[in-house]
Amino acid sequence: MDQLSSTLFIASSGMRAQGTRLRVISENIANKDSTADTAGGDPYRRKMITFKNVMDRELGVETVNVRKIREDQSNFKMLFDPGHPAADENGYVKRPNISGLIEMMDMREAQRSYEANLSVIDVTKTMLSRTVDMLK
Amino acid sequence: MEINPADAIAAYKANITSAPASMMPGNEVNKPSSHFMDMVKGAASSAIEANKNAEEISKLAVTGKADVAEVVTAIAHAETTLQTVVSVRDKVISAYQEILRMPI
Repeated sequence: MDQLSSTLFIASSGMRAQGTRLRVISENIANKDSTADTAGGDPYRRKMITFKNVMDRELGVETVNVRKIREDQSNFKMLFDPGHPAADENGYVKRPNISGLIEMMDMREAQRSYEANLSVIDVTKTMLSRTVDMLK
Repeated sequence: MEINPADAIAAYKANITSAPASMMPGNEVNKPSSHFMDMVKGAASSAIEANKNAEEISKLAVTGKADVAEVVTAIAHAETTLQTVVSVRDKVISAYQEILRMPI
């Protein structure tokens, strides 16, 4: 496969990776208020995504893949709410370690990376069709 | 330096037999066109291959097993491959018509 065509597939792998990243961010945002259902139990833990480069044997180029989706091990936020079903003996409820602001910034970054890959596809397509147009 | 005619003829004969088959007088009409046919056939089959791949991925996407991004790239690849083949074909046909129009 020629260089320009494989560029299309590399950019596609980048878009796929950013799509997975957005999925993880959406899980975090949706579970921003998910608490445990037992007293003193752990609430939802923030998830983090990492990427890795992968050698595509068929194309002979480096594409990107999701390395791992792991959990953020930082401390939970404690909220004093004795009436809550998940409150411990001191009346504190463990809240998920998610900050809406951080998730929003992560989401914006995923969006920008996705758009960058889209632009790569756009430019590649233009270059390919302009080259073919030389024949006409 | 003395040249023996028999040696010269032997050398000429050796050269002729070692020449590729396409350069032999009898084959020169058929060979180049079959090379061109192979080229066209190869280009067309790669376009068909790309189209099939795009269809497969579209099918997977309909059943929810493939990404939108993958579908778009596969179709873009198939489209550009087909565009290339069609342009080459048009160019070749116009060249052929140019030859047909040539006053003899």
